[in-house]
Amino acid sequence: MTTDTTNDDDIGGSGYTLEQLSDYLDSGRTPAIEAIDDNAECQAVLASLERYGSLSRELVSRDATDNPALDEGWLSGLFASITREVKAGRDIPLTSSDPLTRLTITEGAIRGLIRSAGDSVNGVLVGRCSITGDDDVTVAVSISVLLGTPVHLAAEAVRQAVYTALLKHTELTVSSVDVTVDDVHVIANGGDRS
Amino acid sequence: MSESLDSLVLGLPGVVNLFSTEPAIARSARELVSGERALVEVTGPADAAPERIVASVGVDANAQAPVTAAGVAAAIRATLPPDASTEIVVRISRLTV
Repeated sequence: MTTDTTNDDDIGGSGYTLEQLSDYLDSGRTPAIEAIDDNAECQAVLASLERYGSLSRELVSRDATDNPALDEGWLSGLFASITREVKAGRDIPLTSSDPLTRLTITEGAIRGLIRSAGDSVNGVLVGRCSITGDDDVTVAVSISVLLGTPVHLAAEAVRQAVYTALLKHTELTVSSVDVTVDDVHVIANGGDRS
Repeated sequence: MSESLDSLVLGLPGVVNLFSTEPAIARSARELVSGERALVEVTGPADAAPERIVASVGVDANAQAPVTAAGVAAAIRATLPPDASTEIVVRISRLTV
């Protein structure tokens, strides 16, 4: 059973919106809300809010052209992308030797994996990611690169990380992983981020 | 049975979360009617083997998702009578890095 709802603001059929999840995070997740804690899509959004929330506090807000901060619109677009990407979507089948057993991985889980793989590369922040196709899939990832990071090396590292993660966790045939660098950013502490 | 399956699944290698298989409002309604609070969904007659068991799990990215899913299904199958024709569905809903 998928958890899509007709309300676009509702995360994963939980009855809670992105803003409410942000409030829940700010409150230290107390009191515990079962509808959020037991919902995979809410948990994916909360993890992203934690990760990017701490990162956004590190970003330098400067408008000098030689030291560009991460564009505010890019960052707000990032959260919109995450909200879309965590939707469970299709169930992608995994091989099972038992005819009475069906094993699947959701498209949302795969998109989250792609995002995590890309973000694991030093100096890279994933903006959007998408998967198209059924048997042979094409993955598209847009990234922002830390100022001073060699762009082609960062893009290649993201491509390799995404491909390796998909190979490990899915049975998809990956035709290509297309990486687009669409922004650069700086970080207050000189590059490290948690 | 569902609640014991919750514990079983959560104790398996690679499994870090267990999620609801249905929207919150449907789950709340089910809890009100049956008092059932388990996350692994078991459907079928109470006096026979279940017709269907569905588990929605979060997997540690250090484990391999397909292997973990197969392990979950095998562990659930092992709790059933050998001749049970129960359909088991294991859905990986999140990979945690």
